[in-house]
Amino acid sequence: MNIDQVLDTLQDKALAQVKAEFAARLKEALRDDDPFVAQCAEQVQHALVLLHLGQVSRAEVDLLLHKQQLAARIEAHSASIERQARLRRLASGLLDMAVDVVVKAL
Amino acid sequence: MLVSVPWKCVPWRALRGRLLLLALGLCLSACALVGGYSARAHEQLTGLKAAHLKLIDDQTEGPRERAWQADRLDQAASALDLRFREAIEFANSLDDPLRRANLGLLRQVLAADLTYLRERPRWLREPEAQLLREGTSLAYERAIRGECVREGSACRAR
Repeated sequence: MNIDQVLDTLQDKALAQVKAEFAARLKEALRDDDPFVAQCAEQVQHALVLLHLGQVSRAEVDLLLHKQQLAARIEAHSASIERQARLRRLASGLLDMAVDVVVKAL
Repeated sequence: MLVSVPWKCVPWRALRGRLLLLALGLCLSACALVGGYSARAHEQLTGLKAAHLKLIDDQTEGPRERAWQADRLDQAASALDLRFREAIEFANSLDDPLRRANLGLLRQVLAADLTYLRERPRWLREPEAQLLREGTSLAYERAIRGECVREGSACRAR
């Protein structure tokens, strides 16, 4: 069963627009270049299928979403660490070059 | 006693070189908040992940026929809490706010799982355990990545 079949079971027309938007965003996230975004989307899709099949309840889906929010905050920290580490490597390399080349030329 | 120093004109070329060094030095000091890779911190994160996933597995239904026991969950939770305290103490000694913050968030993941498990005093069914494992693994993997992207890392960032 795929996500379209699960979402098709929502009959209320008032939900049609929300459903279409959600499906589009989920598909976009599944194809995202960022592995974290794609992994989150896969997990949400899997959870919704299990919910539809009655194998899990809303509580498990809510718990997963809560943990994804915490993971997103961790990911933001990790991205910041990566950026600073890269900047540090770059600055360190430039500083070494500056000491070797620029200072000697002064 | 005041000594008057005669004004000396510094050539632009020399000044430019000094300014460049100053800018690079400032840039390096701005990055000083994030420390390098720590094998011990990495080992603590992978160990915490394994122990957390084992806790979920141990709460999942299987071939055993014994009844669910709250005190077994409490014992496992207490052992894991001790490992978190040790990791946080170590992170405090390295004085890296982002490493400390990530451990705090992982502890919140554990707290959320424990609240969920205590509210349902029974073995988890496999699909429920699967969802618990997915969300938990995701959070730990991101934190492990945060260690692996540091300077001097011995592991591969995923």
